[in-house]
Amino acid sequence: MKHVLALGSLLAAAAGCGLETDERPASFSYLHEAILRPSCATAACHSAQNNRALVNLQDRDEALSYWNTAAPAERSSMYRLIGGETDPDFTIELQGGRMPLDAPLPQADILLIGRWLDEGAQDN
Amino acid sequence: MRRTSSLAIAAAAAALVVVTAGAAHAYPQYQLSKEQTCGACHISPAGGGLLNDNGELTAEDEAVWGGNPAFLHGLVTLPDALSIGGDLRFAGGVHDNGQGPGGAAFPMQTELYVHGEHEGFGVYATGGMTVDGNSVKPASREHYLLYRQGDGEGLYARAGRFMPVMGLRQAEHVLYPRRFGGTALFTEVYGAGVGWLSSELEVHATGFIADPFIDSIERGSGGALHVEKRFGNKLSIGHFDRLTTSDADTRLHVGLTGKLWLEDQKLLLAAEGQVIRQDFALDRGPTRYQVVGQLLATYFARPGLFVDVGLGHFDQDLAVADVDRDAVDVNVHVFPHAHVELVLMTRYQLLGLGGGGDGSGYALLMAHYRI
Repeated sequence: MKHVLALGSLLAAAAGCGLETDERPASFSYLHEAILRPSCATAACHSAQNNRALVNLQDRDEALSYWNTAAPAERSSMYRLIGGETDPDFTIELQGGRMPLDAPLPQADILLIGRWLDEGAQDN
Repeated sequence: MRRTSSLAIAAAAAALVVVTAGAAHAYPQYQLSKEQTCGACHISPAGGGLLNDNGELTAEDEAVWGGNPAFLHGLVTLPDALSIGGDLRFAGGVHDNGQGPGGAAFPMQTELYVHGEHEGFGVYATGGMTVDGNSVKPASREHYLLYRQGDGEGLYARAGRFMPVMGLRQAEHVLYPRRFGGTALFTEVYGAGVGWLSSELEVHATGFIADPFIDSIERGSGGALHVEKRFGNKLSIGHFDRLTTSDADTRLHVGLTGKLWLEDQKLLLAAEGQVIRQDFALDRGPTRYQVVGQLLATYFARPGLFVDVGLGHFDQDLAVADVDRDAVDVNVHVFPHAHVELVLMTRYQLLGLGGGGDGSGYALLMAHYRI
């Protein structure tokens, strides 16, 4: 049975399937480990080693300090940088393109981060 | 409030560096078409960095206009026990993340390599410059003690800082198995490894620890095993596993590799697939399963010119819809001289086959000078 489930998972992956409802927790601890660290704290970018543009998203507390200063989502410049929709009166020019440049975040991740921002951008 | 962001501009350049910056690596494309192992051309048993004598001869043979392949074009004669080399890379091009094209030109790599050896025992070290905020700083990605039974074959052992060996180990670290599969750029670790290299079998085992000196991108401890069996010059099949644990998560990678050389067609087909199980510590979130894979077809048009066409797939969480991505890569490699490489790298990638957000792409020309 396990093999059947594993095969099913692989086939689903190949087809790009998944649950339509996103049941992942909108907590910063999860967002940091599951999205921000692997997506943003990469080589020559916002890792602790490279700290590009003086932004370190590898360290949890530092990452939180960048993100929780502008909640809710529509007031967050960081949210705009990853491609999230924002208040049109509160914009920054995306001269570099949406982040990360080599592998932009999927919309589901952006919405999950938006949920966390809208819920108060708590240290949770 | 309007904030024209110099951060965005800097980050754009930075991310493009990520797109292409990297250490010189082996060309796995040559493994069946030219030589059997990475160690046949490189001093490092897992490939990358310094070339050995055979690697330099291959560089000369492959170059359109030849050239002396030795260190500094042979201007300096080094003792047999010492090897020195290096890589300089520069790139420029355009990218579009769904919001219009942007351009950039930037240095990618400035790195020197040194290897000294006496009767099989030696020291291997790299040194270069890396980004630090808005400036640069010196860094050494790799430095280790190395024992080699032979040049490119036999037993080897090493201890120090290096990349754990697993998978196809493509030079292009933007390919999904490297970007998302555990061997991203700058994820070298301190550890110890042993292995065996021959024309029929390649085995690499590595144990490693979290970096005690810096907050490295790879912060876990664990082990990796890669086994590859070759069947003549036509086919190779590999299997690898890697377990990494830290105070944040535990990741288990299980993967397969395969290569098929079609000599008449001058075509090498290579594939890698892995499943990753990630358990988050402290109940931060549910266990997730990821899948990452790559198919790569390499056509050797003539000496000094080969073309890669690749298909990549990465699903960051099988339980969530439209967080998967697919990429088509076309890379053209030209070797006009034994010390010079030009690579045109192009990519288009889709999120959730179009349902996960705007697609993105880039076209970059990289110039590489091997010292």
